[in-house]
Amino acid sequence: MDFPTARHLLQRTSFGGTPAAIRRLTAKDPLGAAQILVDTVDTGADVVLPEWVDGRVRMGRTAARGELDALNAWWLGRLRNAESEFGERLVLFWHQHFAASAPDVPAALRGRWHRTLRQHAAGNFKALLTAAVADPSLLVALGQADATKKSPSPAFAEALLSRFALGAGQYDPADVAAAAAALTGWQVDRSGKQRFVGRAHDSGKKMFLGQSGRWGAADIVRILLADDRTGEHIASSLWRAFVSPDPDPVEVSRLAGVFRDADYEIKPLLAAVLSSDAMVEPTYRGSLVKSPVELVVGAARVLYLDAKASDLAWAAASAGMRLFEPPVNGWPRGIAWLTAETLDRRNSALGRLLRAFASDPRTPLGDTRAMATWLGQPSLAGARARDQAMDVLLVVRPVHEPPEWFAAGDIIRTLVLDPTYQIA
Amino acid sequence: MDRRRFLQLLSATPLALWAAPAWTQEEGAAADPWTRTVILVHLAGGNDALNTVIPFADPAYLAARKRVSLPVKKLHHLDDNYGLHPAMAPVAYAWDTKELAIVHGVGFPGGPFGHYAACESLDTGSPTPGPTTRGWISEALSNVPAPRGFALAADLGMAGPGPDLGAPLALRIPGDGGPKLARPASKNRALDHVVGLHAERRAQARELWVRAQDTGDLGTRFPASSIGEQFALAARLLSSGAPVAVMRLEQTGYDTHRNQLSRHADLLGDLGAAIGSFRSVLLKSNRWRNVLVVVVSEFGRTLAENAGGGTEDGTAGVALVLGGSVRGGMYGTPPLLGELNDGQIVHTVDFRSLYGTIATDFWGVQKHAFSAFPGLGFL
Repeated sequence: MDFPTARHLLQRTSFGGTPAAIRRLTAKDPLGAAQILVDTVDTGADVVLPEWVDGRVRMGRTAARGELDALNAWWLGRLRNAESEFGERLVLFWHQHFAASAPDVPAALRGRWHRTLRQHAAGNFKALLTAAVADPSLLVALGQADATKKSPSPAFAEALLSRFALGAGQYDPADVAAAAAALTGWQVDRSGKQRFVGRAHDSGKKMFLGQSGRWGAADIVRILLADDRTGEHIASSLWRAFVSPDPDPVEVSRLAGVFRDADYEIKPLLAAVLSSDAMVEPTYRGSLVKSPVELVVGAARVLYLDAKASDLAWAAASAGMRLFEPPVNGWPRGIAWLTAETLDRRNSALGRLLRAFASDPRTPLGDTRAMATWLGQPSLAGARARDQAMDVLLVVRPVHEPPEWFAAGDIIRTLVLDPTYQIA
Repeated sequence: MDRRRFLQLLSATPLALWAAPAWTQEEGAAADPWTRTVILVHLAGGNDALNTVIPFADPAYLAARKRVSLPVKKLHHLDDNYGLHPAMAPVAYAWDTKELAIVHGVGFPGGPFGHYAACESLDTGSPTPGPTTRGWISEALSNVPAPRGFALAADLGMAGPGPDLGAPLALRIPGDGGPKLARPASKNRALDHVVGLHAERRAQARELWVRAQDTGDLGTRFPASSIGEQFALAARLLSSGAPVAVMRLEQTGYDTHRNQLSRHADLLGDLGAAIGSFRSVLLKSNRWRNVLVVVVSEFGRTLAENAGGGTEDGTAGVALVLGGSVRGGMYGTPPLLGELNDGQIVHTVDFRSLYGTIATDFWGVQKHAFSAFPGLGFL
């Protein structure tokens, strides 16, 4: 495939490509590359989280700031260094898909849910959805932990229908009420463990998505998974995360078919998405907006910035994104990320990150020779070096093209701080 | 800032800022940082402090500087020990009228640093800045919420990548305000959106610039050099009531490794003339008391001269502070030229003392990141 296609594939499936990685990929064809990505994806099911994640949990108080920061930095460190970038992107996708947080969800529970996500991220969606419905951190975040027959909690049911499975607008308020009733009784005890409290459960008859019965939580999940719209919602979400902000209905329906035929195995769906024509179609290039995490991790990985995890976490946070603390309905998507103010903050964070490594000889920022090495050329300077750096870092021509006489660091700095660097 | 707020900035809400800037507030009233402007002048490259404020009576200076030194007779004598560079007549005048504070031996612990690292320290107020270190202006003003539409800093200097002072507005000379933003709308919403936001910011800077151009005849000539134009623009921005706390100016060329004497004289001559014109404009419009001109450099130069008629990158430097509210005089302790550390002058005043003094005594901010550093008392 050509250089721009390879660059695009890496932009979407990893955190952007270094010149060397892009060039390596040009030797492959898109279908082969997609298959390798899926075959080698590693979502880190066996990661080692901070020890306290499996320690004692104290419910009913605000999560400790230090623990949340530690989790955030821990993941950013992994995002910066993990071998399987696609695996991390996939975990980020599910982290956003199942976004649910509240101040009183203990950090340890968030960490355990994160491990569960990693175990299923490239596994089977049935298992993943089943785990989500039973997960203490989600139950607490969405007010389900103390829901009873007398006072059911619609928040969890609403999230389950609108975001986790069916998709917005695919159900009636009565379906939410029915699901909320069915989920009553699945509580979280004082040690942070999920438990079933029979007397809190509403065992009455419910009408859910046109089916009547004495439904419990497992039935709700079963009915949702039997509904075609669930597969379509997941296919469409993946499309939005990896292809373009406007899913093609025909393609989504085809992908949902692949997903169902594979009995909700995630890898065949990923393979179908990554090998679709749309993935290499030039029209979609640059149609997505980088999240703050994608932005800072991308800059660090592509430019060889050996940044501390806590510094990356700070940079992403200053642009509005703390992992493990998503807003109630998830982070913004697409252009909703960007206002004049957040653009300022993103650039400020990027600028400082770059300056901290301006004289590091391992980065391309130091001098002409360092930049030539980064570009994989024995010696390269002037307009050609500038143009190649542009092709690596940006998907379109920049608003402010750095003059060719700029020093290496200033060329890269100008390109990274160009508004066009924000799109992927 | 969303589009609505941006339009408000340009029209309705900040009218108070534009129409009646509080420059004219009564003397002695509690300082409000948002009515007082710092003109921060960076002499880029490392200014030779010893040939700016010359210790002409110090035998160590006389012994070390055989070629790269100035005839004592020509200096503007400040006292029995120090003289100002002969090219800086207007600054010498401010000394006589007690509007010039000279801060000796300004630097950071450690060093020598390279230009880049030293500029980082200068911008952040941290000897070891990391990626999370904010600009010193952000730190100094972090406890004082800025009024709506206010920017912490505007960069009037170079068009290249400049330092981050907290919330820079990229104002540029000579009013390039018309950046090529007229990209044809593409089919790509993400691209159009982000380029549009960028255009908004540029338009905001341009609006400030346009208003500055409308301020009529300044009645004083500024040098035709870059630093002269920057000072003229600063004067116009102040007249227009631009909502900016710090205007950063830059004069390049101070990295005088060779043939220092004539180049240095040209630079300081330009700088001095620009400061003189600026002072006279602000005195006339009664704003001189609410403005502080702070001239710094990332470091000084070595006491020793080199074979090329220049000096090498140094450590401690000198800061010049001018304004209608300044108590003229010498501050800090002059470094001992006879006691060098590995050939370098040892700093006696931490940059953070300078920044802290500005925050406390000029902006009236009592608690800030530099509170722990002793104030210098020039205000």
